[in-house]
Amino acid sequence: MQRNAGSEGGIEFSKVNMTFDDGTTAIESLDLAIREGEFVVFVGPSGCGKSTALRILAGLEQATGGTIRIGGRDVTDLDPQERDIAMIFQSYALYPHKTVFENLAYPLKLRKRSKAEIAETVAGVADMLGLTPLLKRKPGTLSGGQRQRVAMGRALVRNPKAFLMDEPLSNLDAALRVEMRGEIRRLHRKLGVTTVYVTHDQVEAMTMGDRVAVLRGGDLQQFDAPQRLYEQPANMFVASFIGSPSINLCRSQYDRTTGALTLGEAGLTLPPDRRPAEDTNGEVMFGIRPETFSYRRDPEHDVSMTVVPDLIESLGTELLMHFDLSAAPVPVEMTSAARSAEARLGTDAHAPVTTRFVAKLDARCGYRVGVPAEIWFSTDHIMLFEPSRGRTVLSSKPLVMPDA
Amino acid sequence: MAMTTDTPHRHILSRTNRAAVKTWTRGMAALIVSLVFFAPIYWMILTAFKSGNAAFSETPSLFVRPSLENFRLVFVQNDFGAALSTSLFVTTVSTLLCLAVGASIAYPLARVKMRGERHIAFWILSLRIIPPVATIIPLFLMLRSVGLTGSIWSLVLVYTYMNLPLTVWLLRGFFADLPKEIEEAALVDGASRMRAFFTITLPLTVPGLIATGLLCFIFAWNEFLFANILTGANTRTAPVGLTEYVTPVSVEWNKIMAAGTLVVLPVWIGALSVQRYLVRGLTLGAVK
Repeated sequence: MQRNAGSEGGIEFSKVNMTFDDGTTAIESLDLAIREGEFVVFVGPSGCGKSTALRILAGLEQATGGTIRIGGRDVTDLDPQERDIAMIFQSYALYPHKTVFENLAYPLKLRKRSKAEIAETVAGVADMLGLTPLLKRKPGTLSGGQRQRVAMGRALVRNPKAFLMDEPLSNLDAALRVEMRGEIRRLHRKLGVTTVYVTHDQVEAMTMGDRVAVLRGGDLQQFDAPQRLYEQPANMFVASFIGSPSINLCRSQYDRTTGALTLGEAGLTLPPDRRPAEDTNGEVMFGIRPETFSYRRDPEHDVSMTVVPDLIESLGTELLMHFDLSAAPVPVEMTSAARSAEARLGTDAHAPVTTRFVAKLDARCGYRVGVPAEIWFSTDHIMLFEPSRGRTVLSSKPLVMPDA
Repeated sequence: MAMTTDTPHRHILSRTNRAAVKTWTRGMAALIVSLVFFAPIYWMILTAFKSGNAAFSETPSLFVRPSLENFRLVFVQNDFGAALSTSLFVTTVSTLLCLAVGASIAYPLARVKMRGERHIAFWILSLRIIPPVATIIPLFLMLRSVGLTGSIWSLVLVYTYMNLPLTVWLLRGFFADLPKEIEEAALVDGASRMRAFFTITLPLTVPGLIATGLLCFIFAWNEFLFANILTGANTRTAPVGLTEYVTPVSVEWNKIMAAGTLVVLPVWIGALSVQRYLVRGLTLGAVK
């Protein structure tokens, strides 16, 4: 999986550790190689170590162990100003006492460029980002979106080895966020500079990243292309973190001799090509994504179940149908933000025996709350996870074949 | 509307009228309080401008024909100009020194994480709690042993020492209030720590520096105890100079009032001109 990419213009974390003074571990033995020109997103719930990893890369935080290479050069002990990287902060961190022009010129001034060269470079970047009419204004008089552009401009003016972005869009309203998302991607395609982007928003991660690193409690869970994270998650945490609405999960029993899978009162038999590895038997965690359900039978949806919807949310062309399934829910520790050693799987007498499921269906289905409804799915979309650590033992069949 | 005509009006005054009464009452209260505080200052200025014996009249007059006679007397007879310029020098130099030293202590306290930083900060502030009288004899002995008694540099040193704790405390608050990311952005942009401090941090804390500087200035300017003990005949400051008019034979009220007016003037002008920074600066620092 990991090609030797750090040697050229890429970025390489190897065995990076970060423990704070109070003893909490922010990052544990992070190994990650980012190729030159790649757009990589670090994603995870708050406290997963994604921002810390970025700050270590920027040199704003000193790792307690391991090495970091940028473009083949060991930068582990270098100060931020010696690393030749540009960073966009969540709060933009513009210099409030300087005009937009001075903000953009500051990195160049520090590099002792000539006045004429500074003026020319700033004018070029300002033109590209539509900042030209704002050059004489101070950041305090700008809107959120304009400040965001200035922050981007300040990163762009000096052709760094890498762009680091720490949740740069989280202070914008939803519409502007979607617009800027596209703009950052287009800029990246145009400039081709290695970019590391941190976000807690899995939609942002999926839509923007060439590859996405999913972190949980300082531990790298999976580093892969968005489509692979979605279809072939490494474990139950990644499966539940990626996708919206999130994947339906419940406990089930699997019999390896017959291939029978039992979900509470319901059951089905897995076809021979869709069975987990040989040693899987007994308790397994069952997962299926809401958008893989259909309201009608077709070659891709050939297994049915009848459920009673208790809530229907319309999304326009689609709707979300909520219902209870008579199977026990998975322990919360397995999908929660904190990384716990092992989930406890006792049979608690008071434990709920139903699990909330959601199906995303075509709005034409005409299903109504309280009226039994038949929904169809395929064994191709079923995922199974082993019960102690949540490792994936059966992932869904890829929709799109990877390029190679 | 017809249905509501018989609703009884509970308030004689309309909402806007009540608001006006409220504003007016508050204004009057503020005026009365200000008059109480301003009366002695008015009396001082008034007396300063009275000529000759009017200052000693049995029946005080509230309005006078102004005369500059008293000001001429304090400058010509008592060389009050020298005292004023000594005060100005000592106060300005100690204030600048205080800001420079204070900033270089406060900045690391605000930014560098270290064990027991809260205790260090509190310990520094606690120096301010010690009554000045308690330190004056040791200070006098120390300064005498290095031969600085009677020199204006002794006052520069003592005023810096006196104002440093408060300066550190206030500046630490201003530096801590400044978002860390702004400095980090400068570091990533290619600035050294020093460069980031001087081009980004310092310009952004100017209101705080001005507010703190003004407080130091006022404290040093008004200081009497140290000045009285540590200065000699040629190096007395303005507050010490004022005491000269109280002699065994008479109290020269006219001169005291004129000199007093001159002492109040620079502080007053200074406070008025940076009032904007003072209020903003002090409240900013107070939050954290």
